[in-house]
Amino acid sequence: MSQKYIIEVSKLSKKFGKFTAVNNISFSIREGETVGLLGPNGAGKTTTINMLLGIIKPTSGSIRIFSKDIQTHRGEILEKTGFSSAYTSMQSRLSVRENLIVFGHYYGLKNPEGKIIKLLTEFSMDKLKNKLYGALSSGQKTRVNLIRGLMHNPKLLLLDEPTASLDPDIAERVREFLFTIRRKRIISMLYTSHNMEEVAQMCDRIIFLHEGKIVADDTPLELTKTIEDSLLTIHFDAPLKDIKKFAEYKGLSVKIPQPNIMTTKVSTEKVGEVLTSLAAAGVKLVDVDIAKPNLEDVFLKFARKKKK
Amino acid sequence: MNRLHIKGVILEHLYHLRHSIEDLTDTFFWPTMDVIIWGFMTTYFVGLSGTLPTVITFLLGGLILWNVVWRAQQDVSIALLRGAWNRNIINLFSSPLTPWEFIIGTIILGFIKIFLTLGVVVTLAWFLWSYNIFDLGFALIPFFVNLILFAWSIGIIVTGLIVRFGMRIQSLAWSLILIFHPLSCVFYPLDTLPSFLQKVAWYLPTAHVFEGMRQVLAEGSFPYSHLIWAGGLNIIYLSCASILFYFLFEKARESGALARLPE
Repeated sequence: MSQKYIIEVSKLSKKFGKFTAVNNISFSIREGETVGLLGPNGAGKTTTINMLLGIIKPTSGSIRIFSKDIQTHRGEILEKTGFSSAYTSMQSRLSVRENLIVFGHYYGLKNPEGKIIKLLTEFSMDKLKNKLYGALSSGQKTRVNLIRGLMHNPKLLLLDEPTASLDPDIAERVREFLFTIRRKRIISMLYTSHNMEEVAQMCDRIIFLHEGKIVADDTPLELTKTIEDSLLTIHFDAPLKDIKKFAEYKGLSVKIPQPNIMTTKVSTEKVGEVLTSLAAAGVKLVDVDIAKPNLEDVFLKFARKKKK
Repeated sequence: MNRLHIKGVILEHLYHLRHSIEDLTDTFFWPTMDVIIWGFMTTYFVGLSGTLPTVITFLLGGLILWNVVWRAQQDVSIALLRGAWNRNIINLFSSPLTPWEFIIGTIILGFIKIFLTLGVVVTLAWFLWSYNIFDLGFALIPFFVNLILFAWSIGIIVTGLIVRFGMRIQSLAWSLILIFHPLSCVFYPLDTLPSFLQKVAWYLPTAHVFEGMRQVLAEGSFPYSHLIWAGGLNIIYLSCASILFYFLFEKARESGALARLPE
């Protein structure tokens, strides 16, 4: 991966009156890198993206994209930046083709038609080109939004939940398409999503935002290592009281979702010890499932900090 | 200023005109109804007073020219509202399109739509009531330009206010211009107004335009002083509107109102 920085954010803050939406954050994204921006609702993800797009003015701090300040070189930066969000829409009374032609002009394309047809075909939308945007399903709208963000071959893509409201098949195709773009040319992406599996799959690095602050910035693998406990699910054949007694003796917090199934969280290195002890206590183990920590656990850990 | 960006704005709203019954109604139906109703009323008044040509010219001429003001102002303001109604504002301003290119695009679009509206209205007035707006001669051109300049000032101010204060004030796009209607003295001479309102009206370019139009029709002389006043006031108002728009747009970026605009 290149060492050249595409986005450099330094000491960025945004206050709305007394409320601090983004609190003194600094991060950077290198050329060709895909970074996930995660956090619970209200963590400051959208405000950060809007500041990167120049739609919201920061209270303090600086944003440099392609080595230029967004406040003074907004047009130049946005010519090379694509944006797609599941939460914005386009003119409902215009056809898909008309909407994309309009945005082709905004992105400085003299003859956008050819590019539009190519992208519509790649996203299996070519038959819908003359359909009114307002008559599309939400999944189809998301795809059109994505095409809008990609039609000018941007070097930076800001994607706000790009696969929201897509069915699993189409969502997979969109991810495949984004992978293909990454393989074919050098493009940097900033990616927000509530689909943790997708983020782990797509992103080289993840930034966790919590109450406007960065609470973690690392690779998906390193982040999951911060969670020590694995989820142990055991299907057993023994009296329930024996299981409860065993859990009490071992100091385990156990849940019994069904009469013969128990779940418990134990540190990964103690899994073997627990299973051996259970067998030694005469509990017949019918089935065992060990779920290692994933990004969702990391997300929940940071999101629940707030509630505590 | 990027020519392609401006072309994009014009295309967006011309495509909309093609698909939207509301937009077609605003552009053609209401002005047509206006001409028909006012034409009948004028004919009725003429029957009472017997001063046919002048009354028709005053009333229908005023009506047609006020339509120019109304349309030009609405086209500038409603273009932004349409973006907000469709949750398209973030898409628009996350592209390289600048607010000024957006405004210039809507102004050119307004010109195109005014010509479409006027084409229908002028033809109808001529066909139904034998009224030819071009009887005003070359005087019509500077009048017309001054009316459009004033309408743009109001349109730019309304757009800035909606960007800054949100959709709760969207009705200004239709109503603000009407405040200036009685003071513009479209259908009656300025001295009809009470004296204190006359003083206010002289600060409106539209009042100078309609007074000037009446002078052309009644005396046949070209009203240079009215034209200079209207032009001067328009330069001041358009400059102030542009500065205010810039200020409001920047405030909206600061407060986050631009990003929340559909609200």
